[in-house]
Amino acid sequence: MAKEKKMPEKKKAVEKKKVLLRFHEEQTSPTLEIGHGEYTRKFDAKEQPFECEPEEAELLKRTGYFVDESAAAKAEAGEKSNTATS
Amino acid sequence: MPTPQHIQQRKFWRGKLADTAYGTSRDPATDANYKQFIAKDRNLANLQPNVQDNAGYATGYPRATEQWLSNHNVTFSHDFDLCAQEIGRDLYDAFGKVVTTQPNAVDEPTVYKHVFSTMDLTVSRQLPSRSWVEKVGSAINRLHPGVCLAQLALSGEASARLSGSGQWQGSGKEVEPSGLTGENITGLIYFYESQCTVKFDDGTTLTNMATAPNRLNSWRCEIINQLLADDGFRPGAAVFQTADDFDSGEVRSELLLGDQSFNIVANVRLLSNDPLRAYLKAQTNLIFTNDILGPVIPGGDDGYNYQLSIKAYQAPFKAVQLGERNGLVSIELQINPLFQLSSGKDLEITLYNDVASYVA
Repeated sequence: MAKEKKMPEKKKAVEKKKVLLRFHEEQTSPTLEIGHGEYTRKFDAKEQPFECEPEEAELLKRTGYFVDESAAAKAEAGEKSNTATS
Repeated sequence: MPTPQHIQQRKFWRGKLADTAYGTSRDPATDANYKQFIAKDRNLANLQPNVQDNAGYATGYPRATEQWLSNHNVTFSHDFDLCAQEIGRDLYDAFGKVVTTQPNAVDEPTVYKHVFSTMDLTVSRQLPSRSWVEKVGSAINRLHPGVCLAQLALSGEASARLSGSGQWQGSGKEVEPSGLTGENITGLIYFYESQCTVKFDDGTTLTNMATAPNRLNSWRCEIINQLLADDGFRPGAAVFQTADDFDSGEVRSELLLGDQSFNIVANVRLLSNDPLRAYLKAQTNLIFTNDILGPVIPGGDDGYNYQLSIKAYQAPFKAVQLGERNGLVSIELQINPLFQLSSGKDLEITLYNDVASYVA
């Protein structure tokens, strides 16, 4: 009896999740421009949060001028719950 | 009538911004895309076509009967006076990374702060490349794209303007004529040795070379980029000196950064009870700073000056050499900037000026 051929599973397109960044709270400049090799981008404080590719977000976070919005939000939520319990 | 060309007729320009991608020049038909570069030396670019030949092949003859172009290389070096506006282009090319902000956009709308630091090599190894134009009278008018900075040295001595010197390497491509008319550069603010303040901070004691008494003789700070030049001729890239002419010799399609290193040297007078020699013996981790303070930046509340600040975050001495200068005992401090784990930084240069951007 011929074995039933297993159809190859359709490969799912892997979508890279965008990362949302904000200026670090100590950052008061209305704009921030970064150049890194061939990568350049200008950020305007009015347009926060900034949508970034994951690799781009890693580079930006390491500059110290940006924070991950999800991390910042978690920290804020944590602070609030701490305040509530105390 | 053919006329000998004098070296005094030389003029240089470089892209106001980096190439859009490695080796892709900003349009030279627009003068505003290029800034004049005032070199002090008399050097011109050296285009070196590299050839191979058939010596030793089975031609039946003892010597080569044919040679052909394999690739091209361009190198040049220049010395220049250090000015508050143009040094930003050199620093961006040397470090590879800049962050520009406005420290007080409301009261000081003309003031910009640029922080230059080393590249994040986990993200990219391609330094910014720039296109350079060289003209000598009517004899030379050429553009070299894809030029990266291999070495930048900043230094100061005596009562002179501060100096810069650089060594550059291009893709090997040479475009003739350049297509640039070229504007003269004006309005530059230069830095002087008397504006420098060198300090060493061991965490508790701050040794200021500019006070009690002023003891700085000279200083030098070098950024050395190891460029992977031989690796820049990529198989399959198909970029040649003349487009689509495969016999015209390859030019680089990339010029990656292998490694970055730094040297800092300060020559100061030796004082009684001097702590500096003890720092070498103890390998004390010092913070080295050199703050160079220029005139006030106009257009605001006069709260900011043109300023260049060099900071090495963890800088022990690697050598201390005693000598003399005009009879006074001097001490030459050779500093080895390390990567400081706590701050994630090694060498950083901050520039305050009225240039809005070095990248766009």
